[in-house]
Parts: sequence; C-alpha cells; structure tokens
Amino acid sequence: MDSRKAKELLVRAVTTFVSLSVAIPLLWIVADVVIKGLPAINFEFFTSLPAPFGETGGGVANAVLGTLVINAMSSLIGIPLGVLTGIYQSEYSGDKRIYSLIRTSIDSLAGVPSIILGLFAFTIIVMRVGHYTALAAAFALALIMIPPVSKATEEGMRSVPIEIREAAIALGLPKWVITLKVVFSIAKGSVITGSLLSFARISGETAPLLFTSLFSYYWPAGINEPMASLQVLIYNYAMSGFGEWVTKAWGASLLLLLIVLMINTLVRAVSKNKGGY
Amino acid sequence: MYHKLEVKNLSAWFNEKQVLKDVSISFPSNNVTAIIGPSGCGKTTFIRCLNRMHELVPGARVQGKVLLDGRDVYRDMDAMEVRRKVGMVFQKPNPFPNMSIFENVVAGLKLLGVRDKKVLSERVETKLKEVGLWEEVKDDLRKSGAMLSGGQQQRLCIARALAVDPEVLLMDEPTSSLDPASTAKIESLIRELKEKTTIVIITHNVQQAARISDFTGFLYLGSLVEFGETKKIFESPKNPLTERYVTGRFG
Amino acid sequence: MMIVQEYLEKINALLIEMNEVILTLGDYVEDVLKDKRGGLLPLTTELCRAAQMKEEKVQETCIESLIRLQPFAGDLRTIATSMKVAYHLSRICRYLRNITEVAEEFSLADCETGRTLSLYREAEEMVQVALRSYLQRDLKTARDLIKADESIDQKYREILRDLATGRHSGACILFNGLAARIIERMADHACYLANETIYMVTGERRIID
Repeated sequence: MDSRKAKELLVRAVTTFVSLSVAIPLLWIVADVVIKGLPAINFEFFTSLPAPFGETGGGVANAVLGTLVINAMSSLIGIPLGVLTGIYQSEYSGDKRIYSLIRTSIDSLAGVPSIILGLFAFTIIVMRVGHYTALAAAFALALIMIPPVSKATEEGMRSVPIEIREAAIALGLPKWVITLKVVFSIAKGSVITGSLLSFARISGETAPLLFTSLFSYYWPAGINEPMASLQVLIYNYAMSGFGEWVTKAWGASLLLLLIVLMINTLVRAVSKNKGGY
Repeated sequence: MYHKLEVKNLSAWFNEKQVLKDVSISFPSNNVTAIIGPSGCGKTTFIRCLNRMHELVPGARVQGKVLLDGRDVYRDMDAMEVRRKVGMVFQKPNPFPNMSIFENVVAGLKLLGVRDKKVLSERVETKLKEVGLWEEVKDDLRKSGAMLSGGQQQRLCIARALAVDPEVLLMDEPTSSLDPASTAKIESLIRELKEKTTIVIITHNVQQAARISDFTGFLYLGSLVEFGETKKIFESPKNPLTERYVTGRFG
Repeated sequence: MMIVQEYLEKINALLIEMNEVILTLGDYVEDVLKDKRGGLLPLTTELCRAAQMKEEKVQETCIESLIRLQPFAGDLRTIATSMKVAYHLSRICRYLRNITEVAEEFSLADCETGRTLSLYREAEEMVQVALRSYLQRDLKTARDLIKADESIDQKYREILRDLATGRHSGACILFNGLAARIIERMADHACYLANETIYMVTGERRIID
C-alpha cells in the first residue's frame, strides 16, 4: 500500500476512534446513573417528602415540584424577555450601533458564569429581603435563559425570506402585524426549540440555586421562600455520607437526566419534522 | 380617457445612483399597460415607486409625483393605505408557507382582525373563482399554500392581492418563472381582470406585452423612450430605439 | 429555424424572380405590339402560372415567418407588405398575358399600335421603378412614382379619344382600346405597389386612386 493510501487510512481510523470514544463517557455516565439510581425509584420516591436525616423512606416530591415551580417562574420571565429582544434585534433595530450594543450585551450575558449570576441575585434580592427566596432563583435562571432564547428568536425570524415579508408589505399590512402575525408565526418553530433547550439548560443549573432558593425539606411554602430543587437535593444528599440519601441522590440524578434527555430528543424530533425555517 | 394612476416627473435613486430619470406616464383605467425594456432599465424600481415599496430600501430616494385618482401617493396618503389600493404580485410566487389556501387568500383581511366566517368564506370563493383556481382547490382549502404547483401558487398570490379589492394591480414579471401552460392561464386571467382593475405589468418578454397589453411604455436606462397604444408601438414605433428593442436587435 | 433576415432575403428573392417573369412577358407583349406577332398565348399562360406559384410561395414564407418570429414594427410591416407586393406582381403578369390573349382574337397586320406601345413602355417602366423602390426601401422614388400616374392616365385618355374618331378599323379600335385599358390598370398596380413601400418604411397608410 503506498504512503498516500496509508495516510488516508490513518486519518480515518484516528478520527473514527476518537469520535466513538467521546460516546464512551456519556454511556458510562448514563449506565452509572441508571444502575445506581434505579433502586431509589418507587412510588414513595415521587410522592413523599424527605424523611429526616438518618431515617429510611421518604421521597423527593417537594424537590420535583420545586424544580418545576422554579423553572416555570424562570421561563415566565426569561422566555418573553428573550423573545422580545430577539424580535427587536431582528425587525426593529435599524441603527447598527444599537444592534451591536444589544448583541454584545446578550453574548456577554451568555458568557457570565452561572455562579456569578447566582451571586448577583443573592446580592440584589436575597440580601434585600433578608432571606433565601425562589424568586431570586427565578431571576438568576431567567438571565441564563435570555441569550439562547433571544438568539433562536432572532435567527428564526431573520431566516424568513424577504419575499414573504414583501408579500405582506404589499398587502398594506402594518409593520407590527407583519412582524408578529406573519414573520414570528413562521419562526415559531425556532422559538419553541430555543425555549425548550433553554428550559433543559436551567434544569441542570445548580450554582445559582445555592445562593437563592437554597433548599427546603418541606413542600414549597410560597414563591418568596426557599424552595427545594432536584439539583440542590443531589448536591446535599450526595455529600451527606448517609447511604439512604446517597441512593436518593442517584435517583434524583436519574430523574433529572431523563427530563433533560427527553426534552433534547423532543427538540430534535420537532426540528426534523418542521424542516424549513 | 380617465387615468387612474398618473406619474409625473418621477426620479428615483439608490444612494447616489440615479435609476429613474424624470419619467412621466399616465395609466388609463381598466386597461393593461405593459412596461418593457432591457434588464437594468429601471422597470422594477419604477413600479415599486408606485406602491411605495422602493422607499423601504435603505438609501432609497424618490422625487416627483404619483397620483392615484388625483391624490398624491407620497404626500396625501399613508403608505399602508397606498399599498391596499395598489396591490402587487411578484415574479416568484410567495404564498405564506404557514397558512392554508383559505388563510392565504384572505390574509389581507384576517390579519387585520376580520373574523366573520361568512364574509371570509365568501371572499375566498369569489376570489379563487376569479383567478380560476376554485375548482382545483375547493375540496381542500385547509391545505398549505406551499403545496400547490408554481402556476397555482401564482394564481393564489393574485387572489390574495385581489382579496383586498385594490384599484390598481402591479405585476412584476408574473409569469417569468412559470411554464407555458400556467403562463397562458394567467395571461388570460389578466385580460379578464382589467374590467375591474387597472393593471400595470412589467415584462421582459415583448411578445407577452404584445399579447396582453392595451398600452405599452418602453423604458431604457431609466428614461421613458416611448409610450403609446400597444398596436401602434408594435406596428410602427416612432423612436428608432424602440424599433430596435421590439425587433430584438438589442437585448 | 431562420431569423428575420433570412426570411426577408428569401421573400425578396422570390419577388425578383416574379419580376423576371414580368420582364419575359413584357418582351412578348413588345413582340405583339411592335411586330404584331401572334400565337403567344400558350407561352404567356405558362409564364403566368409560374408567377402565381411564386406568389403562393411568398405567402407561405410570410405565414411561416409570422408563426415563428412574431415579428414587430419594421419587420412586421415588411412581411405584411411583401404579401401584397407579390399579389400586385402576379396581377401585372395576368394583365400582360391578357394583352396577348386579346391579340389572339384579331389579325393586327394593318393596325396602328404605336401609341399603345408607347403607353405600354411607360407603364412597364413604372412597374420596374415601383419594385425597385420597394426592394431598396426608397421612399422618395415611391412617392414620385405615384404622382407619375397622372401622365399615364392622360395618355390613356388621348388614345381613347383617338380611337373614338373612327379612323381605325373595328378590330383595331377594339384591340387598342382593350390593350390600353389593360395597360392603364397595370400602371395603377405599379402605384399600389409603390404605396406599399411608403407603408413599409413609415407605417403611414394612404389610399390612392
């Protein structure tokens, strides 16, 4: 075999091997989580409050509910703000300087480590009100959601061809109608996938929660109170050294992993279907 | 002869480049007027000045008057009002992809809040019949607009433009991306439409202009070279430049 | 598939061929008027038929060009007029033949045909000038020719007056009268032909008497 063919084969072999190897840690993690987490899964796990330290039994129901509540609040703030920013950037920011300013701000926000956002929320909300609160968590997580949602919205809207916009303009429709009812309507798919992905993203953020919603062993008492979450539960229980709790941590990990994987799969399925924009 | 649309000393620029030079044309009501000329002569810019779409391009500038029923389209009217009264059909069919055939036809109404189902349904049926599409799609109006053939899509776009009852219809090379059979259908449609609307059509196909128009204007390098009854222009044009263009002596 | 130029060349070639026939027929008519020659009818009939076939060919070529080219303006007018020009040339051929036909009926040995011959030569010249003006798209010549019709009409009336005096034999009166009438019509068609030149070049339509 001449040297050219040999080089070709070598490059192929190396890249294939490395690419497949990347799948190994993923499979390892999933296997580990499944194996260690499955024993914790039972009816009580989903429906009961945690048992006191040292005791067996109990569940993570409050953490599940808490994660959902916090995520919902974050989405309620983060998604609309992200969408509106995306719409503005795509359709209304005529001045190049304003566009650049906003673009840079959003890209920078995306680059801020989540722990710092948590610290920020701690400083301006938690310290002000004097106690840990889920509202601060929602605030911090919303800041994490805004950049990807904004980007997905902006890109989705920009990808709507000019011919479609012209057709709408030629009908004498006002700009806001064209923006919302025509362009945004077409870009909906992109906005939805962007939102789903950012929802999955915040489901995994733990650092900000440590400074804001902290934790609770009881049902969520109110949005202006500390609240349990799967992420913080995993952190607390895994470090506890108590076997029962460690197992529960793995169970919660499994749950969280399933949620995130499901969302990602859903997004991929929706994208394939819609194709186009 | 009443002139629905009058253009007086129209000039247009893209930044520093002047694309239209002092063009004046009067469009007779309920007639088809064709604007012909080689590529780059300013035909498309010209009609986009008629429905105030030229000004949407950054750096675009317009001078002169465009009068619709005597009203100055730039000074006496609001841009959206102009566009409702002066409709446009584009070269490439552009139905809204996320809407059904039904929704596409009445987009101009529905998106502005008209909800009366009866009104909308009637409008859909009437307009689709006008463009000769009704029989072909009546059984499945909920189908997406993008699923029709090219010729059908273009007729759908014409129906959509007609649904808001424009007084003038601008057509920018409406059949140049279609096959001969669809082209023939649309040409025949244009002949019928002029009874209700005044039509201005841009075409680079002189035979098409000869087939369907009542009046023809020849634009060259941004200036109007000649304007007159189609019969006359194609039988014995006055300007040698026109003669050369219609006999194909220069593209 | 041909382009405009090729069609126009083909049509003009046919018109010139038709003119060749006219010239040949003209020689025979000279023979009749000058030398009182007879028995020419079969020949002239054959020539006439050949001319008519060429007229059909011109028509065919024009129709084909309309189908293929959808010509406009100058091209369109040229093609449209060439069909009429071919018709006028064909008519002229028939007039020439008719003269030889009339000559068959009478013995012309003692007839004075001088004036008629002179009228004929003038008319023949008009036909040639008219066709030339058409082929060369010469507007001035065409316009001048139409005015020249006056002269022919005048000479024609003189011939008739002379014949009416009765100093000729019955056969001669008939022959000269008929021939002169035919020649006058021939001149008219030369003018119609020249009129086509005007329309072809300027697009202006006129009715001439």
